[in-house]
Amino acid sequence: MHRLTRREEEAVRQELEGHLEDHICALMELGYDEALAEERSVTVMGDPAEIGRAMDRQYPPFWLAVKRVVMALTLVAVLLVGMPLCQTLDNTAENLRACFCPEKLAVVRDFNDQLGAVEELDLQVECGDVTVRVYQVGLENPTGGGMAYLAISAWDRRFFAEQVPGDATAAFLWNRLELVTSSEMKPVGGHGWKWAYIYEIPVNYGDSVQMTYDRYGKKFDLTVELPWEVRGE
Amino acid sequence: MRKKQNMEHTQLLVLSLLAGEDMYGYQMIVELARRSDRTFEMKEGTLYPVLHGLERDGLVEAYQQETHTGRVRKYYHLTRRGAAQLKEDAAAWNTYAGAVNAVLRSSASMA
Repeated sequence: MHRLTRREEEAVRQELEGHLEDHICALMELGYDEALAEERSVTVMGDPAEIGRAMDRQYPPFWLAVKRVVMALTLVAVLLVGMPLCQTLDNTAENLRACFCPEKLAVVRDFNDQLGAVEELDLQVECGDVTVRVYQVGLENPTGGGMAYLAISAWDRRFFAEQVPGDATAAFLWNRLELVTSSEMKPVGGHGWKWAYIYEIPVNYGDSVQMTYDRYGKKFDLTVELPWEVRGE
Repeated sequence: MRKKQNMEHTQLLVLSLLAGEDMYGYQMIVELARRSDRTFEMKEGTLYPVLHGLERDGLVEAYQQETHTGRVRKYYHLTRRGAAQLKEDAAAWNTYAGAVNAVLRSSASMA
């Protein structure tokens, strides 16, 4: 049976086996022993090859091809609809995390676990549909200088927003956000996710960090104080 | 040609059987032999391609039902379209049989 799908073949096989079983039972009720009943039932069933060919004739030659094409098209449709949907949901989940629990996306100690001081902050500034929030800062040496780390999240108030709808969304924002310390130093590294970013910036003792964004008509300025500790005499 | 004719006759017989009640394959074979006083005894496996053809054409539809022993049987049910086809085929058969009988009768009266 070349024109049938595997499932159709299996259904036909089960149906024919059921028929044989019915016939064997009926003959045994008439007094046939099992072997003879089986032999007789198989004989009157006919030539299996001929049954297979006759069954094939009931399914048009292109039947199997049509089914496979339909299955392939269905799969493509599912992928075309399903994948963007998964991406949107994934994006939305991360956006929500950035809003309510950014520390689950990233913390400054992920970047450097030898920090001398870490402080939780909640500095927020709005930029179009996006809210930018500095939620954690860390210093390598709170009585000296070295590196400072700023953990910044951003979320779009339209939680189902695309990753890059055009202007000030988070992913786009990271490339346009400028950070500079009061001693004119700029970030030397960073690690970003879609809705959270950790900046690594060299600082001198007492520095604060100025964050500036000015692009496509959206702008903001934010000063971030760092958790310096008073130096001992 | 003969095979095609057999198949068409089988189709008419199957549709006729299913006009009374829903049946599964083996039941049809038994019933066909009983009602025809064993005139219509076929290679039993050849029934199934006919049934699948009828199902494909929408003249019968199939459903599964579990027996008291837990085995699943495939039952066939005559659709409205199948009933219409049966009516048409039966009328054609009666016309054909009537014509054959008429020829036989006239031959017998001439003998």
